[in-house]
Amino acid sequence: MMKMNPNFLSASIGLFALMSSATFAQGPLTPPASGDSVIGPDAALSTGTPVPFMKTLHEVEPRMPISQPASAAAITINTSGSYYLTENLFFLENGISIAADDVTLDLNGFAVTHENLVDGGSAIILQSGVSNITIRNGSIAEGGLLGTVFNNGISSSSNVTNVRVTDLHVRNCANQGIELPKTGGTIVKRCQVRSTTGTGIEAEIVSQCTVNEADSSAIDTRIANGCEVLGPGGILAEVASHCRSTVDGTNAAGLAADLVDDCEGDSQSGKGIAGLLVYNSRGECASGDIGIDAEIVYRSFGQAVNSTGIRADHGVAHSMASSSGLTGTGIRGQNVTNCRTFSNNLAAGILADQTISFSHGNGGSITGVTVIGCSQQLGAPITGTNRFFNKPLP
Amino acid sequence: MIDSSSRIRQSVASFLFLAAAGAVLAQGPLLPPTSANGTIGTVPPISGSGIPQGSMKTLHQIEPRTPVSAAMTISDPGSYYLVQNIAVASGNGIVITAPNVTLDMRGFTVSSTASPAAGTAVLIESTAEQVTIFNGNIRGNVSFSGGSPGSYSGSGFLHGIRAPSLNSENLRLEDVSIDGCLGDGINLEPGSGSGFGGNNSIVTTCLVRNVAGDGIRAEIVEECVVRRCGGNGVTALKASHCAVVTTGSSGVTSEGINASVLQSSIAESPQRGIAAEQAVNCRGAGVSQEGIVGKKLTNCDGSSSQGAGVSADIAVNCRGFSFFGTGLSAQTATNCMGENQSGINGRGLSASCAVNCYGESLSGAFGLTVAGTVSFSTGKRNGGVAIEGGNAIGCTVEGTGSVSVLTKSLGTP
Repeated sequence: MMKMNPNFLSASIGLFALMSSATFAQGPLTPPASGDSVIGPDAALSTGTPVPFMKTLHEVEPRMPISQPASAAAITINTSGSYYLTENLFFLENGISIAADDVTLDLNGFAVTHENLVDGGSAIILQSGVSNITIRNGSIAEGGLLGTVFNNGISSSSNVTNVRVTDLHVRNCANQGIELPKTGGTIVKRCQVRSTTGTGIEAEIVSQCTVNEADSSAIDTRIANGCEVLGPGGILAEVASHCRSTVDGTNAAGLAADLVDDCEGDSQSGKGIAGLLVYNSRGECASGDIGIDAEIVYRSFGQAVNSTGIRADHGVAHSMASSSGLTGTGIRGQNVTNCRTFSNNLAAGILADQTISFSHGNGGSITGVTVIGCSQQLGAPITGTNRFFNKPLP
Repeated sequence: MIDSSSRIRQSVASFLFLAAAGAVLAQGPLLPPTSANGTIGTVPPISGSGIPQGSMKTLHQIEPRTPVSAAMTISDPGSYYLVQNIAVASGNGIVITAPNVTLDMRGFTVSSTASPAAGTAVLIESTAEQVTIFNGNIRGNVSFSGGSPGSYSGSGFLHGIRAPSLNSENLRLEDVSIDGCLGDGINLEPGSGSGFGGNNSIVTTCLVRNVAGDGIRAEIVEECVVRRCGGNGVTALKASHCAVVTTGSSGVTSEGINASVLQSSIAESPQRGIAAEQAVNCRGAGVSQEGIVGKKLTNCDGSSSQGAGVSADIAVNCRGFSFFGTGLSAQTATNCMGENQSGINGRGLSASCAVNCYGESLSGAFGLTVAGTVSFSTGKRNGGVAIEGGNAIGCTVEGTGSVSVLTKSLGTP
């Protein structure tokens, strides 16, 4: 009978075990076959011993890494998949071009910057016709060495569809900040844009974004929700809710939207809010233009200097307006009811093309075809072809 | 003297001891480094001899979730993530049969080339509940072929994401894009029309395009876009900040948005734009039916070719336009305006009670019609009846129309 050296045996067992462990630590390089159609997390760790189901590094980070390209040349993504940055990237002209459908690009908290002697290019470009694109989580900015900037942060063809951009900072663009078509199913959410010569953000839905110092429109969208804007450009939207816009230094409207709910619009020399239906909102112009200008206004406040606090083509109801200066009017509408105005004594308080009812003026005058149940505290007497149940000046 | 079997036992024991020690150290101490140590990061574990030290992490600790790399059934609770695009030629993509499952699509795409279109990209079976799916794409080759009502054709999945059972409760879907299905895009509620099974489902920030059936069905739908949809665009108990364009499809109902509570949304449909119990700050455009219809509408704008632009029990600060129908129709209308282009029954604004309103008909029947009382309002119908109906108080006429009411007072001409 052959005798085995016990030391050799124990060493062999240990070595074999280590080799086995080393062999299986990363698991197989091929994924489980589709025929193995049931999986669960216990399969890999149920015994407490590493088994072939241990993860590979690819399984830990399966996405495609993007690193700094040689010569700072543009990168083109032409295969569907999920990509992420591994470092800050800089480019001489264009940055990352997406030319395939079904692409997710995670900037992974890194920045894409422009380094050249002159401005130019776009940090991220969506090529013609691509769809199902997501870009998220990072920054786009001017270069740190030469300080040159991209023309556009994100630019796209007009026929891209299903695009989502979230959690980006974009700063200093010679043209647009984030530019997506408004009719393609595009959303920009939780993004911040600062200092663009063109539009700050353009997309179908813009939600919870801030834009500062956009020379053109700060936000141009179909639905604006919970946005805040400050600078030369204001908000353009079909529907705006819970937004605040302050236009400084230009005559652009603070907020121009068809439907406005729960918003604030301020402008230095343009309309505070320009809309069709304005509800539950406040608009103010600091000098020479209208506070709120709409077709109908309800439960809102307008303020102006040498202009009209609230002007409506048709009804104004349950609202309040203030106008100061020599030529201002508190409220001007077709029919006005249950409103209150403060205005300079020389200016009109409430001026209606048809009927004013159950309203009160402080300063100016109340003038309509029919005036019913109104009162005047200061200013001129109430005038109208038909006057009923009014309280004259004290 | 020690015999060989004893040595073997000792060797095995020694190995097991070392293996156990290794297993203990592989996990590192359970306590975090003390603040006196001062450094927390990647340097301490890998800067020394190259030998794993106590603070090394296993790959499982770095990514504890379960990878999914092919079409399959998830039958155990847990957290899963895609590691690559998954493409199938037939059947379903991923089927979830277990409760308490989170599936992170991690930016990847589940696609199908099945022809004819069949299967569901992610199917939530009746045994699954408390499921979250996020961050990915679903792709088929179904496309809108044009026409009105629209027609759709192509290969791919029948449905995008679907939970057909009443038992699948607490479902959440976020940041998913779907393009090209021959059935529904996202349907997390069994039933049809506005009937819901109560699955407590939430869908946010999703994009759906080129689907022949319904776009999105869930209890709450927020910040979603549906375009090129043959059925209903968004059906929800509560929806907000959604944009929808439906094309209609032969033999199916195609409303833009149907919701109990709706906020700040836009919808266009060849049938009805928006149907809501309550809607605030919404715009609906229809063709054969209403632009927007609801019980209580505030600050809403509706337009339609054949139906009423706005139809409501209570309308506040709304505007409606209809080419052949009534611009705005309501039981009570406050600070509203309605316009009608033409039609023998066309009215600008029609209400039981109207206050501070404006109704205009260009060449239809009446500018402003009230069954009860209209006060402080204006009607316009040049060469026709500007205000028609019951009791008019403090009303006026714009243009050359007349007033035809039972009683009038306080300056009504």
